[in-house]
Amino acid sequence: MSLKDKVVAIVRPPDQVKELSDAIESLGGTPYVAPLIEVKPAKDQESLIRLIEDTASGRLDIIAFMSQNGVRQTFESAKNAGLETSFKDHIKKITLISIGPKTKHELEKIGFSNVKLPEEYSSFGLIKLLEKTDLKGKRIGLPRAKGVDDTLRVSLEKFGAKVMEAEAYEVKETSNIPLVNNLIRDLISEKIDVIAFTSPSTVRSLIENTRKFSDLEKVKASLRKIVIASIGTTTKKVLEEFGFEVQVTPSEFTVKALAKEIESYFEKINNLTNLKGLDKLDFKILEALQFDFPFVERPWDYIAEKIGIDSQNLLSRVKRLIEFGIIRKIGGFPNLKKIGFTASTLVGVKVQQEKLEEITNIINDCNSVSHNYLREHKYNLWFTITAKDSNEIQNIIKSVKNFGISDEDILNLPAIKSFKTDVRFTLL
Amino acid sequence: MRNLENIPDDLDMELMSFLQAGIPIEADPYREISEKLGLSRQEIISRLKKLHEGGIIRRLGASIVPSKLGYEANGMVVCEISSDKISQVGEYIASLKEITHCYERKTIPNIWNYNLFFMIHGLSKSSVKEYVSNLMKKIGINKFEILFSVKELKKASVMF
Repeated sequence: MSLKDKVVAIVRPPDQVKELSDAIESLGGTPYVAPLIEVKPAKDQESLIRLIEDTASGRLDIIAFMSQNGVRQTFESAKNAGLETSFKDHIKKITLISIGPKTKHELEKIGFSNVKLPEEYSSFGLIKLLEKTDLKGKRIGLPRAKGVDDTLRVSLEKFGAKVMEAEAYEVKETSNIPLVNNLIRDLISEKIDVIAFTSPSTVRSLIENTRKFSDLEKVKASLRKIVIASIGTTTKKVLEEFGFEVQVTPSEFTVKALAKEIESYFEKINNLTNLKGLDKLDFKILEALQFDFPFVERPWDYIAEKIGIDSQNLLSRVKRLIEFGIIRKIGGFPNLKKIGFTASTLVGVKVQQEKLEEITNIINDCNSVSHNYLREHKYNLWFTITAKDSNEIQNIIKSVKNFGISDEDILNLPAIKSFKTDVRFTLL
Repeated sequence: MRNLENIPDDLDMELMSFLQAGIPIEADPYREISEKLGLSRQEIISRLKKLHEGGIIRRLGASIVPSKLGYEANGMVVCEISSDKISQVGEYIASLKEITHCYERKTIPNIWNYNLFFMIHGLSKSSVKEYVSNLMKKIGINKFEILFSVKELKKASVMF
């Protein structure tokens, strides 16, 4: 229940609020519902009707739905056009894909059972799913929102597919002006702790409405003080383009995962705050010192300005973080291979309890041993060696074996390939 | 004259050991080393930049101690992956923000078959276990173990 006392603004259209709002409540939070967008049937139905007719007459191989709205509006239009039965019958004969579980559920509600799902619930996931099959000459129908970008269509066309995009519905900025003004007021006065964006259009609507009715810079400044959550990477990208820093993005792009991720964000914050009385500023400093330390003559001034505090304050906070032992070191991270330390390995040893201290002392005395850990495993001692000469490694292994360790009980496991050597640590 | 092959010279190595010892927490942190080496601050920065571009310095900045921030559970995860998939899986795991190191390592037939190693820090063992088992399920790896750390016996920078 770590969302207790937290107000989470939900900005999706009214008919899509419930699930997120329930999830927030079940975690102890207070949902603040302020739909920034409205969904309406497409004004111009031409492309959608054409898609429905083509499907109903068997001229489609694959149909992919990108949202619950897409499903609702498409079947509504099929019904209005008097083609509902033949449309449904033909969909049952072709490949039916849904971008995510909610859209799938919407399709199941109207009687489809064979709905395929991508592994990742995004356009990207959809492409990954489709590229497994031969798309050459395949006709793919995509009922979508008006005005979406053409990345998906272009990607599928690259595989030789014939893509028929149809405008099934329009997403519009809300016309409820009092609601928008209240939201902006409550953001500025920090009555809201989190704002959860669930699509690029919710972001654009907030920006456009703020431009019209308030001071964009002021709202941007207040948004820096609250937590910005995004349902997925596309929405996150749009937020970042507008200069916002996104703190929360779940790895699965669903509403439930979003609520969970918001909760775990506050869990981490609480944990860090309780620990040493650290505050958000300290986290920003730790983040900047790891990811943004510049190559300039006065690096502290640069970082202080970036975070928005004065240099003296920064220096005293950094000293405090060092005293607490949270910062181990501020320096340079050499690529040891490039300065002659070409021999390195990880060694795991099965050591009996009574020999542990002696062996540890021998190992720790070697300058070329940089890390040594006792771990929960039958191979319980694990250390790394970084040396200029591979004989050094052999010598250390030999000296450990001298304690009666058999060949099988000592593993010499040099790296074949390094995928990540970064010791940076993302806090939140 | 600096040599053309970008091999660090003696002054570069002096700068490297200055960095190993730590950048002073002072408004003008390069003052002392500048006097000691007889290099202007500008010259120091341009040398550091060159070392960075040459890949000799990976980055400047802080290293932090996760356990001091409450991230008490430190797990070394070892898993067995077929050689045709290891690059793809390794790249993917390396891209996750929760993971700090990821290596493919040599195996020892019949004794040690795990070939992919990565490190993860979490608030508790149970949260690490949950994260790793979800990750393994997602990637489709059945053979893996998490070796939680019981005690840090040594952690030091290599000195030169």
